[in-house]
Amino acid sequence: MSTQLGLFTNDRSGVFQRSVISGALEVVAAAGHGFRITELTAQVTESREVARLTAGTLGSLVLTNVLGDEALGAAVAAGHPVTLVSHRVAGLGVPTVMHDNRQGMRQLVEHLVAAGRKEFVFIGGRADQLDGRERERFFREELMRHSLTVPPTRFLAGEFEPATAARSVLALLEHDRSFDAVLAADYLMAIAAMQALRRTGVAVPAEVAVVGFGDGPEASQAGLTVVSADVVELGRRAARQLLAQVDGDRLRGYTVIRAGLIVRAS
Amino acid sequence: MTLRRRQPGSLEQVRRHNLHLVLRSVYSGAAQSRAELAGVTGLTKPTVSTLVGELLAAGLISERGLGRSSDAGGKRPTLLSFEPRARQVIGVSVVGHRALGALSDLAGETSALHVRELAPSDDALAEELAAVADVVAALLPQLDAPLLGVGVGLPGSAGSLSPAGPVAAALERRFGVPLYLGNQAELSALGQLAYAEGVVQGGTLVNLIVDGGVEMGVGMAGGALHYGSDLGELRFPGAGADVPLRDRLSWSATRGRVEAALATDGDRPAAGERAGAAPDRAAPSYLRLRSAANAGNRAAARLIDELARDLAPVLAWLVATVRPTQVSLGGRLSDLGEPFLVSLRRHAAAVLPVAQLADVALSLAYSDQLGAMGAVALVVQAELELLTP
Repeated sequence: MSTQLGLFTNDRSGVFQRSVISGALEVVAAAGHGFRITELTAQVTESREVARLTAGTLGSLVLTNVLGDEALGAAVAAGHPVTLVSHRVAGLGVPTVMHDNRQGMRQLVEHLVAAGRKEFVFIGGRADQLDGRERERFFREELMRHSLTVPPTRFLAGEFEPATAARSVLALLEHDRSFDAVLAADYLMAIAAMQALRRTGVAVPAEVAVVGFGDGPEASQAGLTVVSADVVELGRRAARQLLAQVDGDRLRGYTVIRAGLIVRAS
Repeated sequence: MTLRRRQPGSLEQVRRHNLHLVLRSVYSGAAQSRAELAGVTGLTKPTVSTLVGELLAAGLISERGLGRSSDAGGKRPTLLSFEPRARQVIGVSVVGHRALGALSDLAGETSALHVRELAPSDDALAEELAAVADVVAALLPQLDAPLLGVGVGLPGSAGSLSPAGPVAAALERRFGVPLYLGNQAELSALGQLAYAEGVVQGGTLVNLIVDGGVEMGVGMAGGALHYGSDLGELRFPGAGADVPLRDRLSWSATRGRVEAALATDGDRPAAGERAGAAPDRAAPSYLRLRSAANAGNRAAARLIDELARDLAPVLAWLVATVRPTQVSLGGRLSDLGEPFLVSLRRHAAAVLPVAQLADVALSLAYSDQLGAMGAVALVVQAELELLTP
């Protein structure tokens, strides 16, 4: 009998997915299993194609939205165990493991508010990814909670790409220098923003405080204040959930991993 | 009501009591060595040594180097410390339309949460319990230490209803650990007393939850005593006519009014929203209502004031009867924030002497995890008696 599990990714060398995969590998290897990793360049939405790709494996770990929601639902309905990472399918069908975006954004905004910052700039992630959508949505909720207003011009495109984030910040600086805080939907974009600000003579954090979601060695080197969302741990937790399903548990709902505020210089 | 059962002392119960007394003394920092434990607990040194040995074997405490010798000199004492990660606890509460569970250590530090939405069902209690079972099942693979027990908070009086009894027993059999049930408002108060920041210690905390219904939870003596009650059926005469609180203040009762108030200014995007940015932007919520009132929407401001007026008699009645040091507002209504509390206090002052109200701290408890954390505290207290006045 196969001991292979499937793992679906669309960016296996990117920081996020690479870290998830390493955490997941650790756990499945300890349980005597291995991963057959499939890297897809485009989302697979065809149920038959998903069935073909998952054939011969005990279950699948699916990163973000590389497989279409309906096709995934069909695979689960056919008895194939699936754990999604950082993506959710409507309804109860497909269990998920993800970071606690609500709590993370709440902590970042509270940290900035407590430091007396009022004029926020937000650098968003990708709208086609749950993390991107949720972080923006919860940021907006926190604004309402603190009675803060952010004009539309201060919601910047970042796409989870540091270069895009830096370009957006530089473009903003051409007509607006009166903000005092930048919150980015991930820490790599926050570092890029920090560098862009400093290059143009804006003092961080004296004039503008910068914070980001997620943590890595780059963030600690850059002295960036973050909520630590341990991505390797996310991979470990996801693998544990998948293994429980392979062992016969029928799981429903989504598991969220806590994020903790790490205050650094920025 | 979930008061700890005290049975007349058999030898085993005395031993268990003493064991918890020693553990609690290390947990609270009252004692750090075997000698200090004997002093604090009044137990003999040999008894303390035996109990410490048991706790060490169970992993609940550990030895952490040597302390300083006493003024009289002599051997340096071995220092003991509490091990919060030696066991984990799952606390689940059913709030709004979902069951939310927390996987926590013994000190209230959570490592994972699990959420399972409730499906529409004719038998609400059965669906709630099914969701609770799903949440527990999903958190079990995430355990990093042995599971001490499962705590469950259910809305309304379900937390103490007998139909939950057999199901609770079934869950207990399925998961193989003790299971404790409570009312979710009661557990939310307990969660705040046991683990939340910004709680006035040493007093009585009342948690008022206004969400799908109107419920009250009371915690005192550091969480060692707690009870809860459903206030949804109460009818206060006066403004808002003679209808039950649930029909005036629950989200299903107010949603239409919130929507109408938001519509009066064309439902302008709130707080820097660009049109169409968030998919659920158009969904009415108390956060949006508050934001609209802030931006000058008078219908929104009026509605917030009306809700405060409707809830004020409850606050006045609570303050007069329970004499709390702190009242925290939880559930969806807490999204209305500080301005709502100011309004609430002003309306309550119309029916209660100002001095009596002035001593009470009003606060917001908008975290949806408090019920789950209270369920964790319920287990920790029942199994290890760590909470003290």
